[in-house]
Amino acid sequence: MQAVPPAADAAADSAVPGGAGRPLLTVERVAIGYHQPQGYVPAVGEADFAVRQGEKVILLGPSGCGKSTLLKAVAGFLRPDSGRIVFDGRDDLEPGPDRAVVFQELDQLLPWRTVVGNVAYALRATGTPRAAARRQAEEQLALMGLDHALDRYPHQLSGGMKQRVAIARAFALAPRMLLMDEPFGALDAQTRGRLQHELAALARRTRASLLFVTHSIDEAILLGDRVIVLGGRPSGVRDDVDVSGLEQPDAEGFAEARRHLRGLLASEEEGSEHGVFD
Amino acid sequence: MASSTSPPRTARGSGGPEARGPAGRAPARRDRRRGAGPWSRLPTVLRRALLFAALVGVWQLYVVVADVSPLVFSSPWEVAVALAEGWGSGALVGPTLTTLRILGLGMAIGMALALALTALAVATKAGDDVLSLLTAMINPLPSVAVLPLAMLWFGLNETALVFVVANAVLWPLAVNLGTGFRTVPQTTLMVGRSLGLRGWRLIRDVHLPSALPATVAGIKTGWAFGWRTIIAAELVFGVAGAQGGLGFFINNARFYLDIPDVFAGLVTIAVIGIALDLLFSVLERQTVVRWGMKQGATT
Ligand SMILES: Nc1ncnc2c1ncn2[C@@H]1O[C@H](COP(=O)(O)OP(=O)(O)OP(=O)(O)O)[C@@H](O)[C@H]1O
Ligand SMILES: [Mg+2]
Repeated sequence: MQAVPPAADAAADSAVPGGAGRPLLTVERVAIGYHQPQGYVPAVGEADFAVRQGEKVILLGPSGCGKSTLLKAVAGFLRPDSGRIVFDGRDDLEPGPDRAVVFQELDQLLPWRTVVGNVAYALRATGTPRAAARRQAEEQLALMGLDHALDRYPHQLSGGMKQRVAIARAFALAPRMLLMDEPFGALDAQTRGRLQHELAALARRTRASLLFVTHSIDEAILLGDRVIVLGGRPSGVRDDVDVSGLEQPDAEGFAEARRHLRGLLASEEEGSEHGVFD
Repeated sequence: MASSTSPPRTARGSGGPEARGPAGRAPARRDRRRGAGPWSRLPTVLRRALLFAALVGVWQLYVVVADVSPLVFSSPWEVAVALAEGWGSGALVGPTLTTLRILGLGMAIGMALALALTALAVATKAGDDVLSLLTAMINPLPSVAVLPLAMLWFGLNETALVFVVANAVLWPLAVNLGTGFRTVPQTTLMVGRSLGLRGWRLIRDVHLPSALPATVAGIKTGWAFGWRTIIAAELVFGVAGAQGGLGFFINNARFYLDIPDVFAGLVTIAVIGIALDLLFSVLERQTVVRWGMKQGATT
């Protein structure tokens, strides 16, 4: 997407005075599992972390370590079996538009609504009047470079376009926190790279708080201020790595962070293999 | 007669009302035997128009050559005249409106009940069990079979007919709606809930549109059931209320040996059937097919 003028950054910085220190989300000793016919399957053993206002936090870990489970719990779809999740002072979380979710699945748009209809509907469902919803939806979609596809139906879009619409919908809601579960996981590498940069720019500009799940190290470093590495079985937080200011792969420290995270993940992959076979 | 009025449960869509006239099949078969080379290259509209003209021609020829008694069979010309007169004088208009009103009312009630039952079934386990049990018990019954009961409960009037039609529409629609509701994609549901939708708004804005392909299929089955049932019921009933419907019109014409009117009634029924079928197909194309919700694309 378009480059963000440096002035926008500075303005946004001063727009949240002191807000950066307060935790918006705290995950306290959370354990979650699934009750299956064969018995209880633990997915998250003990997770502990916090996300401050305006911070972009990445959940990174090998497949099956409970990243999606944690995100769904923050979104309010699952309840922790023990521990608490406190968001904005509340710990009885129900799904709601203050935590807009972007899923990995490409079928997250309502197929019976057009591109602009999907975004406008989300706004109307959350109380925006019809005309304003339409206008805001168009603006947000233009920001994502989708102004030429406003009246198409989701089945007429490419995968990348669908995810762009889903991201536009999430940002249009101006949520307290954006939750994203591998939104680029189903895309080809090129589209994925482009969307990563678009998202990074948009997030920088809006100073949105972001909790983003991925198992791509580069994506984590590029998008995040902090990377929380999950691992073990049952899983917990292995490390909490500061990657702020590393928006470009050629930035100083990028290679270093990548090496560090790769090392952590490699030991996790080994560990989880033991977990599977013993 | 009984077996021809209870529709086979698999018959849907194009196999519906237009298969009513026994004469409708012969020319089609004959044309297929003639070979399909240049014939299949003609546009559909032209093929149908030609077939229709051929059918009418054969019909007229048969009446002239075989010299059948006018008390048993009418020529197309006589039928056309009877149709024109019936529609001109209003003799056919009243019965048609009556039948359509009963059909519309019965369908509206049946659809509302189906929606309520399915919503209950989605909301509670007990509702789900009730719906499964009821549909399993009642759905296999040919819808005319409840007619005696309806007559007993409501008497010889329109209410009984509305009841029968509502019953005919309710069960196939409830089955399809239930399937549609149960198969709403998990992601779609989560999207709705994360927008803060709950209860009726979630059902209206997410479940219902998501279940529309199944619903349209259910309505198509349901209306065809209702349509057959109402005509059959009118034929059995005779008069219903102040003004008889199309079935009554036909029966009455038969009683007075007004054979062209019998045919005029049949043609009216067939045309309405085709028109409604077309309407639902257009509806389907404008919605589920347009939205790329695959199941709808079969027609
Ligand atoms: N609905 C479910 N029912 C039962 N078990 C589940 C369910 N969803 C996830 N699990 C189990 O919980 C564990 C964590 O799953 P989760 O989807 O959170 O992993 P993940 O880190 O998101 O993996 P991936 O990177 O592959 O998406 C896995 O062992 C998985 O088998
Ligand atoms: Mg996952």
